[in-house]
Amino acid sequence: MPDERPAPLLDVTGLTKRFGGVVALDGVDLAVRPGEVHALVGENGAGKSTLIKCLSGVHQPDGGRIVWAGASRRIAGPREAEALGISFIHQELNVVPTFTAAEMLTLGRRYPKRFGLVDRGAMLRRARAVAADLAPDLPLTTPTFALTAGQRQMVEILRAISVEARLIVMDEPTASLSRGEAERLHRTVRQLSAQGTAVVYVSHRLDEVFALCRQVTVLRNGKSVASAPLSSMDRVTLVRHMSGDVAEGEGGIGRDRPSAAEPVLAVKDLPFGRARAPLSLTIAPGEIVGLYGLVGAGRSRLLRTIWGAEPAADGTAIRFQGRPLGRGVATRVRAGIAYVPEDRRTQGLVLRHSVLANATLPHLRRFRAMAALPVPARRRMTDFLQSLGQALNLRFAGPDAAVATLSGGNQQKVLVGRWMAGQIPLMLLDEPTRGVDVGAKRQLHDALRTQAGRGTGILMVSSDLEEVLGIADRVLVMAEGRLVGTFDPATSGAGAILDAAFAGQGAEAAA
Amino acid sequence: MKILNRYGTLLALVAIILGFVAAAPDSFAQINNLVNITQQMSLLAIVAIGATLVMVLGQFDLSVSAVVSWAGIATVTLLQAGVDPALALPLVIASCLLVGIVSGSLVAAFRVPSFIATLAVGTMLGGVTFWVSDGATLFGGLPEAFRNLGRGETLGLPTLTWWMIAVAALVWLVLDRIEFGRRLYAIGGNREAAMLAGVPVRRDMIGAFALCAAFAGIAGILLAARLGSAHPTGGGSYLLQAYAAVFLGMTAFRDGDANVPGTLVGTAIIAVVANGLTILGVPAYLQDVLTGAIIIAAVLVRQTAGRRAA
Ligand SMILES: Nc1ncnc2c1ncn2[C@@H]1O[C@H](COP(=O)(O)OP(=O)(O)OP(=O)(O)O)[C@@H](O)[C@H]1O
Ligand SMILES: [Mg+2]
Repeated sequence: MPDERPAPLLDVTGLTKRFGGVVALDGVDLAVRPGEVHALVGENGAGKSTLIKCLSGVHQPDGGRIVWAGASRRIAGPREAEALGISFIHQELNVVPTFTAAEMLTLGRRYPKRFGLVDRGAMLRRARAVAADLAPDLPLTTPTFALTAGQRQMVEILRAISVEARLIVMDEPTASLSRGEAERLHRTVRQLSAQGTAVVYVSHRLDEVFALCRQVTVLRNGKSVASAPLSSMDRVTLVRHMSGDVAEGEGGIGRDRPSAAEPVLAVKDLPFGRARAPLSLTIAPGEIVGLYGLVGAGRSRLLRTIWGAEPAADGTAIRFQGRPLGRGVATRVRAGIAYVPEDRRTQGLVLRHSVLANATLPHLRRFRAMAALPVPARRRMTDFLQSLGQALNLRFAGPDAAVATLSGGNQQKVLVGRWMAGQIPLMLLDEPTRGVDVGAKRQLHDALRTQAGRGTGILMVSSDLEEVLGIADRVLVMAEGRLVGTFDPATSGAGAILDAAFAGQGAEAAA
Repeated sequence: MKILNRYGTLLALVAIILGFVAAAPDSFAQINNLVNITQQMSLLAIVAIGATLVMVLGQFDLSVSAVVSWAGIATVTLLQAGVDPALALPLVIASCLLVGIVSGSLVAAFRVPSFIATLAVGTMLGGVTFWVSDGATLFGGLPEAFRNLGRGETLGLPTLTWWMIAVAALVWLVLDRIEFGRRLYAIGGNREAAMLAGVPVRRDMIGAFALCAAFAGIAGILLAARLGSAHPTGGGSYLLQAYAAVFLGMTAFRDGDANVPGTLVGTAIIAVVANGLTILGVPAYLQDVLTGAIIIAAVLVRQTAGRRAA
């Protein structure tokens, strides 16, 4: 049958890339046609981001060819890539903390000028125009360090679409977006596609892959193992291509509903948010509470406040096992509470340090060779790392590899997994499965259920509504710094929760 | 609180000035003396503003003192040999640019920590300076036109003050209003993000080091013009004072970033304290103790104010 599709805009063949002993890409083919939305999927560590960094010139491939618009190219760096007409949303959030969103959109590009000098007003107007469709609420003049991960993600998305590009490569653009924002992004992607711009779309959310993309390429262990139209594939086949064996199943571990014992965490009338409205919530031992809301609703801030990293307006409002927690992170650490921040790279991991050091950091005490001496035993630490690696299917070169060399999803597994041991009365998790693949997500969920089964109370922020509905015993919905609803996932569906999230936001805007 | 947070260092400068005005109304508070302070601070300000460019990157240039000394010795040597100043001065500045390019390349391309790279480069340059000068102070035989660059008055202000104003205005424009400067702030804020955004990170870093050395060179030339002589360690005191000024400046105005107005305020604080204490007859070693204390105080005020504002 003759191929009647247009010639590929991007044609990658036999690409290889090695990092020391690790083979990250092992003969990858990828053909993207103009106007096509092309999904790139694979497990954590399969090589997706490495492939993308070869296209952006951050990495130079060791072998293979990159043909762009009919000509074989060597891409020296991000500048060259953008000059060719390829723009990128990289997986990790790469913003300059002191710059505003408006300036991030201009950085590295042509600044608007007046009399040869940078024209800040024009810069802002331009940014407003770009943001109008996709993120009308994004604060453009706030330094990005004051934005949430979701908002920073938005900045990167706007940056990528704000130049004339023939191909936009998006590496997990929706990983920290909630459904509303994700849908807006989907709309934008469809528009771009209709205008003839090609999009390479990396995601672990298979629903959105099927809804949005026409073609898919699957990577496994650095090889492209399948490339086909998505219409010819169902979910089970796709997952089988990704993992090479069993299809995904339901969560494995059953669990009794927690009984209404004395709450492990009780927040009572905490003045919170811009309106300083009183906020109350409780978490019982063994209970998993999901905290859902739109980007900017104040979920992360609430977690940080409970964790003591942000000053609480009322020091006695937060009670742990009946006693007020007071100020500061140290008291939480002493109480044995666990906290997983939303941005693994700037808040979670010490990137230069080894996998082993990062995995054992929160409770070095447990690894002592002798109880009396503060000397951790390497043996015990590597044992722990090994069990963690098995439980979560961690891909890493060895215990002493720098954690920065792990794929994004595998870094996330270290960040969350390192808490999964022993007696933890309370876990505060901010987007714990961000960027984790389908299989590993299930494993992480199992680990969380096991942990809850041991009596741990879990408060978990997630922008992934399916995840929240799947794992939580109770869902709290937050909007504009207030809790606007409590739902039982057994009886209420996604619709009711989304309605609450949007309605809460609207009410505030109208007021 | 917000005011203290934003303009704390500036307020400190005003407070210090008012303090000296009260303590010595007929000597310190004279307009002549105030004008004189702007002249006294000018060369330090030029060096510190150069260092600010590198500080924006989050890097240090510890070779500025060596460059100041080198520029002085090189200039006087060339002029004494009868080279026309119109040729000699560009030559000297070019040599300083080269020094900066070497340091910058070590830091940007080979990832040598800037502390080490610039310390080594400065040490080497110091050796070269001693070798050229034979370790002696060079003086005499300098054309009047050259000497006038660093002395006398122009349009009612000391010539050196004008130099400071020109350099400050130029670098302020570069950092705040020119793409190059914005890119430097980006690199300092998040080097990887800047790289991914298409910023030519290496080239820009090397550029900043080169400019820093060039300004130190200009300061060295002006110092030689002012004194009519050059000493192989003539720039010795500039390094610590310049960084004191930059740090004081980082606590002023902008959220913790190095910036030109801040550096100027920082330099002014150092100069005012030195001038005022000298007038009051306080010995020089006590002046140093006080200057150090002021830096710590400025940072502390800012830290606590910042925390409360958050
Ligand atoms: N700089 C590096 N040094 C060493 N190894 C690396 C480096 N970058 C990536 N790797 C390795 O290459 C492999 C592929 O990683 P990559 O980041 O491309 O995965 P990915 O498909 O994007 O995964 P994820 O879904 O988790 O983001 C991994 O085994 C990773 O550990
Ligand atoms: Mg990746």
